[in-house]
Formats: sequence, structure tokens, C-alpha cells
Amino acid sequence: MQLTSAVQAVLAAVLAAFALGVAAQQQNPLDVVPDKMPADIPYGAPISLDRAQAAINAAVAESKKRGWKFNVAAVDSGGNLVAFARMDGAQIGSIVIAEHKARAAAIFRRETKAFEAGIQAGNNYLITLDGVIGSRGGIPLLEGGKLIGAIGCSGGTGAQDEVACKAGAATVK
Amino acid sequence: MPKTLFTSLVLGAALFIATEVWSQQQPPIPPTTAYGTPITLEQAKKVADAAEAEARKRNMNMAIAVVEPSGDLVYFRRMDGTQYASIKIAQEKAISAALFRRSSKDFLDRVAKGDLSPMSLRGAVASAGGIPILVNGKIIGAIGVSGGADDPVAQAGANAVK
Repeated sequence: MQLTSAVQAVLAAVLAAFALGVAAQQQNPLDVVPDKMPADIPYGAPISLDRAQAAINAAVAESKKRGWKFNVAAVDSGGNLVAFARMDGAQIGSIVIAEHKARAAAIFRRETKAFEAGIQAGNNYLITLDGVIGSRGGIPLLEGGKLIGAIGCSGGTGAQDEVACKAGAATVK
Repeated sequence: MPKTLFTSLVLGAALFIATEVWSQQQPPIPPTTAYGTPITLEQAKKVADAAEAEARKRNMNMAIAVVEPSGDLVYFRRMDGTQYASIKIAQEKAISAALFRRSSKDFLDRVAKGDLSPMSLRGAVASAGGIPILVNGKIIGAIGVSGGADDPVAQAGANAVK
């Protein structure tokens, strides 16, 4: 049977789409089994009040420099609140968000940006996990490679929050 | 004693007891202290510093929370070694003091006298350690402490700003 070139083109396109569809269905990235666990960071001793406050003060100073007003929370390695400061005029709704970001960064041992990126990439299952928050701005506090706590900022955009809290996290090495 | 005098004495005593019981069962009129401009971070730090100093004087590790009149958290710190339960409790006491415009000890006192109604009020904490912070006679926030000598430490904090 002699098909016209138009019909041939359509047939080829349909076959290609089918092949791609099958290929896409066969590659679920969540099926991959890596050798190493992600975020396998050892726990250290819970951060002291002094160091938590130093981290918060650095985040607040960074915010003031830029005219931003944030809520900043610091938690220990167990995710328990150690210190909190609300800059004058900071958004009320962001109080619990700052704490949530700090806690998530501590109990999951990773920057909350990981959740934001994961959700953006389509891994919506992340939203079903208790304690996760899909917004950057929560940063673990690592001393000598051990997790001693985390800091969380909220009040602006996620990117602004993260700038302030990275300044805070830099006080702990 | 003449019968009529005895009767009136008995009646008088009964009336007295009845009104006492009746008045104790009526909840007190809420304080009418006005709210002022919400406490600033600077003021909150001063309050917490004073409270922490008092706690250290007494060799106690405590959690200290400062809230604004609406109960929203402004400042918090947990002294190293404080029991974890105190993290939430300090905040709840501060919120109670702000929302109800009175020391949380007021609710404790009422419960101790047999009036359990504060326990059914959401946000009321029947435990000492939450005290409103007044500046120029207006409530600008409240302090809540937990983990040790609650009222003296809270009072030391509240006294830090006038």
C-alpha cells in the first residue's frame, strides 16, 4: 500500500510520541536506589543560647543593612526552639513560618530550599510529609560537620529570607 | 437569748454566708487597662535580660517569652539546660497575660479557691509566671517564664521597662 507523504509524516509522529510516552513512563526517578543516604549528617551537641543568639543577631544585622524586617528563629539539633526575634514591623504571619523553616532544616538536616526545589520539580509527595516547608530560608547550623541546630528566617520573599539566614548560619562553622 | 434575737442572728449569718458564696462564684470583672503600642524588639530584649539576670541570681534555667498585646511572639530565649516543656509553657503564659490583661497567677488563685471556670477558657493559663508589661500605664505586651521561680523572674522582667 502506498501511503501519501502526509499520512506517512503523521504516522511517524504518532509512533514517535508513543515511543516517548512509553519511555517516560519507564523512568520514574524515585525508583532509583542510590548507594548513599542523602543528608546523612551526624548530630552534635545542641546549640547553646549564646551561639543561637549570635546567629540570630547576624541575620538581623544583615536584614537591617538592606532595610528588611524579618522574623528569625533558631532551634537546636532536636528542632526545639532556643531563641527567636521579631524585628519591628516584621510580618505577623511570618512568625510561625520562621520557626517552621528552622525546625524543618534541623529535623531533615538540609536547607529548606531542597523542599522548595523538589516541589517545583514536580515531587509533590514532599508536601505530604509532616514538618516539611516548601520555601527556602531554613539553614542547618553545622559545627565541624555536625548538626547542632538550625536557623530560619521569614518576612520577605524566600530569596530574601535565605540571604539573611545565610548570614546567620555563617556564624557557626 | 430572746428567741427573736437568736432567729435574726441565724438569719443574718445565713444571709452573710450566702452572699459570700454567691460573690465568689461570680467571675471578677476583667481589668480595664488599655493596650498601648506593641512592644519593640529593643524593649523586649531589655525585659528578657532582666528576667534572665533574676533567674541566674536564683540559679535557675528558664525559658523566657515576650509577646505583644495580640499574643504574637516578639522575643524568646531558652537558657541552656531548661526543661523542654518550658519552651511552650513560657509562651502560653505570656499569651495568657496579654490576652486577659492580668497575671496568669490570677487564674491560678481562682482555681485554687475552687473556681475552675478559667480552665475552660482557651488561652488562659492557671499557673504563675505570665505578667503584662506596662509602659505609661498601658499594656504593650507580656512576659511569660517557665522552669523555675516563675513570678519573681517574670516580675523582674516586666519591671525593666516603664
